[in-house]
Amino acid sequence: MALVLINKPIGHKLTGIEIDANIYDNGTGMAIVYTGTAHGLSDGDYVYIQSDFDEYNGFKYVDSVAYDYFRIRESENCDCVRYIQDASIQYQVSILDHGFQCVHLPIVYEIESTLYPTNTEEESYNPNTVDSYSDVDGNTRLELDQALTDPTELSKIELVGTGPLAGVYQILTVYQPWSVVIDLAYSGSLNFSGYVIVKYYDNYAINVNVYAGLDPSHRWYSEKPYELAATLKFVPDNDNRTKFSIAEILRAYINNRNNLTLDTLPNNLDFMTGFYISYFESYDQSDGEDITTFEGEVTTDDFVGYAINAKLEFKSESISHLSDYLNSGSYLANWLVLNESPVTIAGYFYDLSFILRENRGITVYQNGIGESLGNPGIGVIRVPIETTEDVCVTVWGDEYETTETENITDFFDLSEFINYSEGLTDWVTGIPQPYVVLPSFQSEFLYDDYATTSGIDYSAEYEFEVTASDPGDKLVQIVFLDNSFLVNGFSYITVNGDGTYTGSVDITPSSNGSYLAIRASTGAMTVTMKRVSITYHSETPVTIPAQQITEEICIKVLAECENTFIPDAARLLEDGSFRLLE
Amino acid sequence: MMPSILYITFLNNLGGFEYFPFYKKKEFQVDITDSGTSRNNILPSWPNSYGKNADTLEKQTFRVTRNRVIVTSQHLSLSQLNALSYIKSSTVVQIVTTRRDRRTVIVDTDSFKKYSESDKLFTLQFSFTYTDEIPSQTV
Repeated sequence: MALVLINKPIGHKLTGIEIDANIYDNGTGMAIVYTGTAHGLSDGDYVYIQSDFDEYNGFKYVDSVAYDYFRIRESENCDCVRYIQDASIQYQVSILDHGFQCVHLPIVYEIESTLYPTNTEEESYNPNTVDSYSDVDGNTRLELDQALTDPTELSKIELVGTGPLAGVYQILTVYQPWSVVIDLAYSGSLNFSGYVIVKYYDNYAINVNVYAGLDPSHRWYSEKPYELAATLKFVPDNDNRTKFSIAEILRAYINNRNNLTLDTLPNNLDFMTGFYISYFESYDQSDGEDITTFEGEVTTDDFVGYAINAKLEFKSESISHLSDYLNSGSYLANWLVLNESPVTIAGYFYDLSFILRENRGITVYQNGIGESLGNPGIGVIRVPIETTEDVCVTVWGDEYETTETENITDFFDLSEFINYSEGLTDWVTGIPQPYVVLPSFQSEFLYDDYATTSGIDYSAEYEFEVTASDPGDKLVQIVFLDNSFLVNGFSYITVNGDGTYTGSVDITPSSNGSYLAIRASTGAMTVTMKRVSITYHSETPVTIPAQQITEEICIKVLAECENTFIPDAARLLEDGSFRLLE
Repeated sequence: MMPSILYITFLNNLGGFEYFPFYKKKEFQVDITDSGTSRNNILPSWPNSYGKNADTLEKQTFRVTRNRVIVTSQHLSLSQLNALSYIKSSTVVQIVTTRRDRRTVIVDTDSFKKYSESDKLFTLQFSFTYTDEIPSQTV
C-alpha cells in the first residue's frame, strides 16, 4: 500500500478521571506507559496524556502490550511515540471516540505516501546500485545490480545521494530491466558510488474524494444523500505526508439559517452533514511511446464523521471537538445553549437544541411528562418547548436492539502455562518466562485454558527470544487447541537465527477451541517465551436500555402580563401598591 | 405607553438558538442610508420652467431608509449577560412572533462594553435594523 491514512478527525470524550502512571523506555527507544496495576485498555483505545514533556502530551492511540503497560502512538497507523526521558504522567481514558466536528474549525486528515517525494519502498527495501556504466550516443548507459521497477522509455528514475549526480533522469532506451540509457551526458569520470537508483514517480499526487451527505441508514437520507463533494489533489511534503482540512468543502452543505418550519424537524438538517473520504494516488506512466496518467486503486476510509454548524471557543474545555455535547453511558450531553438561565414567555415559541449521535428513538420529558419524538436520526435536534409554567427538560433515548462491537485484548500469565505430555521435549514451566531447550524436532505444547470461537479473527501478539539456534529456518507456532487437544487454529513465526522476535500473527479457528498453546519445532534452539496476548473483535447482540441522553435544563417561563412589569420602573406607594414610572 | 415585548432569537456558536424577551422601553428610529436628487433641465420648457408657474429646479429621485430599533435589556445576571452579549457576534438574529412568523434583523457592528468589575447591575444595549427598506418610490 503506497498510501496510508495516518490521521483522521476523531474526537474523544474523556472520563475526567486522571490516572497516575510513568513513562519509561521499552528498551528499543519507544515510550511505554507503565501503570503498575491492570490498565484494562485494548488496542484501539485512546488516552489523553498530560505531562511536562511535549512528546508525550495529547491524545494518544493505545497499543496494549501487557496488563500493566502499553505503548502509545499518535494514531493507529503512526509509529510508536519515541522515548525522550522518564516522566510522571496523568492520563484520562476516552470513553467515546466519535466523528462530530465543528464545521467552522479545521476537519483534518493526514495521508502518507511511500513513493513520493522519497521512494521509501525501494530505498529501504530494494536498494539498487550501479555496477558499471558506458557511452551510448553521448548519453550514459547504466548497468544496475538488479532490475528497475517497470522501466520503460520516457519514464524516470532518481539517483538518490548527496553528490552532484543526485537528481531525476529520464530513461531513453531500455535494453534490459537492469540496463538502461538515461539522459545524462556521458563522461568517463562519472562516479556512481554512494547512489541508490529508484523509480521516480513524475507528477505524483495524492487524490482525495470528499463525500458529504447522509448514510442510507439515516431517516433523512433521501433529503441529503451522500454525494461526491470535491476531489482534492495534493503533492506530498518532504516528509512524504500531506495534511489537509475538508471543513471548507463541508461548509457548503451547512445552511446557516433559522428555519422553524424545516421539513425534517425536529432534526435540523440544515446544521449537520455526514462525511467520509476515499483516496488514491496518481502519477505519470509510460508505455514506451506515450505518457499517460496512472490512477491507483481507490481506498475508501470506513470512518464516518459529522460536521456541525458550530465553532468552539479557543482553549475550550471541550478539548476535543464537540465531546461535551455528546452522551456516552452515564456521561450526559450538554445542551447547545449558552444561557444557563433561559427565560421565555408563555405562548411564545421556544426550542432547545442538542446533538443526537445515534439513530434511535427519543422521548422528551418536560417536568417528568414524556413525549416521544420517534427516531429523528443523527443530527442537531430541536426540541420545541410548549408550556405556561417553569419547566425542566431532559431527553431520554428509547430502548433498542443493536450489535455491540469492541476490541478485546486478553493477556496471559505465562507462569501458569503447562506442558501437554506427548513424549516430546518439555518446556521449563512455572516461571514468568518459560523456556525450552530443543534438541531438534518438536517441543511439547506449552498451553493454558483459553476459549475461542469458530470463525472469529484473533490476533496473537508475541515476544520470545531464541538462543543457541542451529542454521536454517525453524518455527515457533502459536495455535488454538480444541478440548481433545487437536489443533483448530494455526499460525507460525519463522525463526532464522538467534535474537528477540516480536510481532503478531492472525489465527482464525475452524471450530470452537479450549486452549492457547505454543510450540517450537524443526530444529535445535532454545526458545524463551516473554509475553503473548490475544486480541479479537467482539460483536455481541445487546439490548440498549432506555437511558438519559442530555443534562437537565430548567427554563423560566414568564406570563405575558407579568413581563411588562419592570421592577426598576416601579415605585412602592404608601398603600403597598406600585406606581409605574414613565 | 407600556413597553412591548421584543422576543429575539439568535444563533450561538454551538449550533443552537438562544431566545430572550426584551421588555424594557425601546427606541424606534429611522436610518437614512442613502438618497439622490437630480437637477431639472430648464431649457426645453424655458421660460415656463423658470417663470411664475414653475414647479421646482431639483427633485428627489430615491431614498433608502430603514427602521432601526435601540434595545436596552432589563437587568440581567452576569451569566445571562455573557450569553446574551453573543447576540453581537451572531450571524443569525431574528425577531420571533410565532413559529411561522419570524423576521431577520441585522445587529449593529459597534464595539461595546459588556460590564466593568465594579458593576452590580448588568444590562445590554444594542441596536438593530431591519433588512428591508421603508417602501418609497424611485424616479
